[in-house]
Order: sequence, then C-alpha cells, then structure tokens
Amino acid sequence: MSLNIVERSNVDEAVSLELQGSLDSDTAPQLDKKLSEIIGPSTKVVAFNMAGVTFISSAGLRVIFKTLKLMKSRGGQVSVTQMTKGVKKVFEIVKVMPDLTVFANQKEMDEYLEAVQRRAES
Amino acid sequence: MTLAISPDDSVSSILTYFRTILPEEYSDSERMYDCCTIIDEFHANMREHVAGQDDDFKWWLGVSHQGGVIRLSFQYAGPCFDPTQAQSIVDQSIEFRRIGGLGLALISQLSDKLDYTYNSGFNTLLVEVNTTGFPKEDEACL
Repeated sequence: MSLNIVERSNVDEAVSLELQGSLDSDTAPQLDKKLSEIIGPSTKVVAFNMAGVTFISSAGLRVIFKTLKLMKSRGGQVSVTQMTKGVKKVFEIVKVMPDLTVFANQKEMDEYLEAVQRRAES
Repeated sequence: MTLAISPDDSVSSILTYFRTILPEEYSDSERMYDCCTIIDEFHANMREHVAGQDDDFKWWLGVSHQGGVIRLSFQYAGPCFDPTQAQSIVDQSIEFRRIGGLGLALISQLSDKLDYTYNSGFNTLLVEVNTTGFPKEDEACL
C-alpha cells in the first residue's frame, strides 16, 4: 500500500493536501518530507482531506501531531475533512480530535481556507 | 501460522500475509483494520527500539482465529519490555505531550485482551481482537 499526496493549494498562510492510500510506518516519512518542504515561516493553517486514507497508524499520527504542535505554537491550526470511520477512531483514541478543526466536506474547508487567505492579504 | 519478520520487511507485505491467512468472513470486519494498526505499531516499535543495527534481527507474528476472535502473537528476543505497563500519554494536553508514544496507546485501546510474558530471553505479547461485538473482558457485566 502506498501513499499519494496531492497538493491542492499552497498560498501564504494556508497549505492544503489531499492524502490517498495508507499512512503507515512505511509511508509516514513521505508525508513528513512533503510537509517540511511546503510549510513556510508564515504558514498558519495546514489542511488535510483524508477521504482517500485507507489506513493510519501512529507513525502517520505522529506526522500530523508534529504539524499540529507547530501550527499551535504559531497560533495556527490543522484542519481535516472526510475522515473514514477507521481513521477517525484512531484519532479519537489518541485524543487529538478536540485540537483539530474538522470540516464536514472539502467545500467547507476550501471556503475557510479562502477566508484565511483573504484575511492574510488584507 | 507464524511468519518471521525482519525490520526491512514492508508493512504492506506483512499486512498482506495477515489478510490472506484469515478466512473471508473476517475481511469485512472493522476490527481487521484494528488488527492491521496493531501489527504496524508492533513492527514500527521493533524497527525503532529493538532491532538496532542487527541485520539478522527477526520477530515472529503468529495469527490464529476461533469463534470470531483473532489472536495475534508477537515474539522477539531481547530485553524484557512489558508494553501493558507503559504509561499512557494521551491524557496530556497537546502542548505538553511528546510527539512519540502513541503506538502503545493504540495497541492497548484497539485490543480486547493483552497478555505479556517474558521467558528465556523472549518477549511474547498475545493480543486478542473480538470481531463479534461482545464487550471487552474487563468491562462490567450488566
């Protein structure tokens, strides 16, 4: 099982990624590397569409958790949308859900990201 | 059935083995997903904390099933480490929580029964995952 990372948008304050496949101990370093490349000094929001994530383990959680800690230290946040039941269960077990901004669908998340960007530009 | 696994083995190859030896009736179970997570956690721990630079290091995964219960056995030679005694970090707030240590919490929460033994230099962790929906062993009876 592989991980496919699609960069949906990457503007000043917000980065949006779509993840597809397995986010496990083999593939998590791939996401970690991608995030370290695209998160800039002004990034305050990192958004993940998880609809295509079939499996996540703590290695994947660790990458998202690391990103969450970084964003929180900047007063920012990590947003997620469309988690499958199994993925959501794993997030709930490690009690990270309250610290994430969860959107019901991609449209809502996109609207939010656009608002963040407009605010940054004004 | 038991599979000898080395640190270089990919998670996907291990999970493919796991899925192929269970009958089809288990394949749609949500708990299969939990088993896969547990196996990945154990493999990652072996790679990161036990195998070190030992190219010949192996651990063994045993899989059996009976009456809707999947039994996984994890065995490796090394210093005694009882994962059932590890302190959970998930109740700490995000700001103060260290980034690692989530794997043991997942193994503990996703399994219905965990038994650890250490014998003659071998650590053995037995994990049961009940796919039938009966309550966990330590949950109070009505």
